[in-house]
Amino acid sequence: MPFIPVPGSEVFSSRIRSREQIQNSVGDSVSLHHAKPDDVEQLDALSYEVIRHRLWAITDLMGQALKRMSGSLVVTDCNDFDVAIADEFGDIVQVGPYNTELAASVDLAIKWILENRADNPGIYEGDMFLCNDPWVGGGLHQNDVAVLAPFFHDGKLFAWTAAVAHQADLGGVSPGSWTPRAEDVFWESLPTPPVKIVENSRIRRDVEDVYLRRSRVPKMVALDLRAKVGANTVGQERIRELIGKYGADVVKAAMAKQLDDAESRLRAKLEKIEDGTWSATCYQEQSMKDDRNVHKIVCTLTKAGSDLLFDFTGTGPQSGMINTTFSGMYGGILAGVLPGLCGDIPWATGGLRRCISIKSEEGTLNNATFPAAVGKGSVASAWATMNAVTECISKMVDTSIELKREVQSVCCGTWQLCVMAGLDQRQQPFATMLTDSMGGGFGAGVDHDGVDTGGLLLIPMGKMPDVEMNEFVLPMLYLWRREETDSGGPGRFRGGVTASLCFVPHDTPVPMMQVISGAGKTVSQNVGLAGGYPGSSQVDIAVRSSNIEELFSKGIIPSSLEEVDGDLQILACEDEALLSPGDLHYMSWQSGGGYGDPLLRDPKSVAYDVAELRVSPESARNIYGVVLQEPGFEVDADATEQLRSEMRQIRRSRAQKAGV
Amino acid sequence: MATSERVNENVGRRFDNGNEVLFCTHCNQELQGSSATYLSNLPRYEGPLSEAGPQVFADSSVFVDAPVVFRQYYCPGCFTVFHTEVVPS
Repeated sequence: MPFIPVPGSEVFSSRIRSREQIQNSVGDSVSLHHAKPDDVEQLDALSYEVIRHRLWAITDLMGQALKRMSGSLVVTDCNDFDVAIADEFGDIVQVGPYNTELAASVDLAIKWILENRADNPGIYEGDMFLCNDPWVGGGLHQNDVAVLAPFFHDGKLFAWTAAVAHQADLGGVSPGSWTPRAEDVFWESLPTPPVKIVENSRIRRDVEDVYLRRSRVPKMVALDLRAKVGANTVGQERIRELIGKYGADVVKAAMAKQLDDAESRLRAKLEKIEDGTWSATCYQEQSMKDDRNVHKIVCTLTKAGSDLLFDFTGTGPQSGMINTTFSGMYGGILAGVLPGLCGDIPWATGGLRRCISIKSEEGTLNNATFPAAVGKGSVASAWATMNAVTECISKMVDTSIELKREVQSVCCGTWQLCVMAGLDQRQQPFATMLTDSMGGGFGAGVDHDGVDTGGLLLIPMGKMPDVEMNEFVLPMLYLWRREETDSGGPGRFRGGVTASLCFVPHDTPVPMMQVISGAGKTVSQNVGLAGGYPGSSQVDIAVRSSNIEELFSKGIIPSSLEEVDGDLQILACEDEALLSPGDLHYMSWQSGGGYGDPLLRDPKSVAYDVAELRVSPESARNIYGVVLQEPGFEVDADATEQLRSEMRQIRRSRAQKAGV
Repeated sequence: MATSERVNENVGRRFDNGNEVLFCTHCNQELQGSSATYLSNLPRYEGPLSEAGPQVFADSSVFVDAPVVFRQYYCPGCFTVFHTEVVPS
């Protein structure tokens, strides 16, 4: 079907706006509270440190409040949400420590509200706006619903708070709101540009009904709405207390100084690195069901002085349902910048982005034009953008002797989605996604292995759910969930291993509907650096019509697919399926990439890996060139030296045979 | 302006009479090209996905039509691996 842009949709395409542009758009509709330059200049160091740390603590409190009020495992047990505090112009002063990719584009949504809602319907004290339009911002796809709240002091708009979380289902043709069959956004959940959901501190019933009406799980979504309203309320109460203690002008001066501080510290770090250009390509297979192509996002990073240009020229055209919007690309960039360059710098993205320029062509995978399908955007092209950005930043930082310890090979390269829907053990409809793939492997560094099942780069406080909690809430039974031997990308320093799980439907009268979505199943997304090998491929396998019930009746719990009889089906990157009683579902998500040549790894480290089941004895020999004596896995130093010499000779001979 | 003495742990950098010279940090072998181009001048090998290790799914035809390969680039002196990738060919 040919792609036809929709006239009039351009107004929803957020771009980074300057403070002057925002002020001109707002005019007299809303009175804004500004920091006074003298106040910023004269702010004492102690007050600044106390206030900025209090703002950080407030984001943590907002997150805790959101979790306590939510009923969704995605929020309560996995932390797939985030919060932010922004100044009067929407420039983010503090990103929360949860899903940074979600929060990073909140500023786009706030600025859009200021430009497009200040006049009609107006922005007043006691208002909150709801948005799940990924072209506007505040999230990466329609499942990411943001509640954005203006904070007023003495009649002036002083700041904004925001809470955004992934919602399990907001409509569309498939449970979970993204379908591998989507040809455009009209197959998916309706993107809703900012709408006033709270007015005079009261949820508007008419707007809430419109929002919930689209969902298969409206009660859950309604609870999450209240959780986000509550998180904003908690945040604003704390900001009000802070103002009560220090005064509005001092608090605003601290916010302005944090923005300036973040910018100046990033610039100082960049000045330590020689100017240059670095590039990376991240691939994704299968943009939709039955697609057999490979799609690429190309990133070229240029550092000139203390400025960074992220150029995505060469990125493939938008395709299928793996696209993301400008907001998603922007979020992907910042999600790579924050851990890659700002581990020791305040996460005030409103200041950090002053060092960043973006070059990108509209109509590409990570800058898709409406009405492209973007349901998978968060974990597809936004995440792939982050992977390419991470690789470029790491290559850049690796050139600096002082900063090389901040190098990070690419971590788990995407999200392994398994949406399940049906009737639970209480005969109630349910729809959710498994979140065990939060436990991805971390990439290796120049002097350390990647953290095993360390998490996801973009969610510093991400969590894996407890298997008992999943079994309590959902009609499923785990056969296993464990770390996988040999899954980490080999290298002088090894990528962190990943994990797998296998489960069966349990105590449910009907088959479960499934949406399976992922990438990196054959082309590696979790690349290694400096010779390090890529990490593991994502794997999804179903075993149909198995003998699992017979095994259970004999008291046997299988610990591998080889122990189960049935029809084994390797699932595509994008698919929809039914999981019936008697079927098994197996999934293994990506690990981290390695750093450096595996033949340079300390043999004692390899021996330790084997003893700890991180590496098999076969891989110790075949990849690392290490000979171990059993029992005990003692290193045979002479045999290892001999084997490694032979392996180098094989490289020499086969490279020559290749004619290069 | 900062000047770097390294590209990464494998490739060092010095200047002879103002000209950039790259070298292998393991065996001191000089490398052809600049920090932006040296990889294309290295001996390289392209082989089946099975050589990338047991962690990589070996049969790309299950998912995509384009051939997917395991590729490595080596130091021409000591054959230390400088770059490894699993990519469409």
